Amino acid sequence: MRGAGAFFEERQLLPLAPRAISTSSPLVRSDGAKGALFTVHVKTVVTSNLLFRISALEILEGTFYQITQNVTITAPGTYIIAVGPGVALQPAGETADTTHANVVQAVGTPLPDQWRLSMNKGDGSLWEYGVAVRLVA
Amino acid sequence: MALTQDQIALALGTYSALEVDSLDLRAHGAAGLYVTLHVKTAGTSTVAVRLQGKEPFEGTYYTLNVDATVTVASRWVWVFGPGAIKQPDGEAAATVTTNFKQFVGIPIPDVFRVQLAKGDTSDWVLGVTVRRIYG
Repeated sequence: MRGAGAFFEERQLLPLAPRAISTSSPLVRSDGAKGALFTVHVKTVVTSNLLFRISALEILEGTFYQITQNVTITAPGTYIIAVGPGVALQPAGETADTTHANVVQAVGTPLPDQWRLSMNKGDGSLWEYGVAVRLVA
Repeated sequence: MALTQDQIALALGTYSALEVDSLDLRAHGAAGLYVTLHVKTAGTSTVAVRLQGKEPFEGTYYTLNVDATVTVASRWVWVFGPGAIKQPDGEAAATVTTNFKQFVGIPIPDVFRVQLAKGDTSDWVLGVTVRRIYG
């Protein structure tokens, strides 16, 4: 197990590639991390939308349950999702959201031990995108 | 290896361009960042500190915080990371000084740079340091 201060380098969970169907990442172990910063880089879009969500694995029967609300993406760009205790779009004492519009969701729960992300396509058109994650101790 | 000491992101110097970028920096496992902007001589208009992540697919940069501008010489601070707050629970108001320009409550990217966004091309004498904050 890697504790506080562990060196977690960014890694690509879904490499940049054209995809027409809904896709899930491989199963990821949090490896002691409390949170994560996800980067969804959408290079080309066609029609409909793309939904980003994170699902946790329960180990009793091996099923997944969704832990984050869907983030709906409709245009090219780089989208950031922050997960973990203490994350906030508007920290206490600030009078407004201090994050840029690139930051589309902040989720205040710790990561589960095992999880995956899913990118659900709204239709069968070919979108080119990639997703990376940086675990945060 | 944790890097806990101040690092110079932009050396003290005269800057006139509308946008000035640091070299790419690494988080080295840190969750947050304490950024100090030392403005020795202010020009006209404004300057803001942007933290920009570098996405690993095409190497483009994206901005993480909205602009919080300064107009005068002083030492100015930006704080990034989960749990960064200006006003702790139980305090009636912010307990940090007005040197603190902005708190941004999300983790820093693995690869990032500091960008100075200036309101015009006047000369400013300034420098920027970063200190990584570990969870």
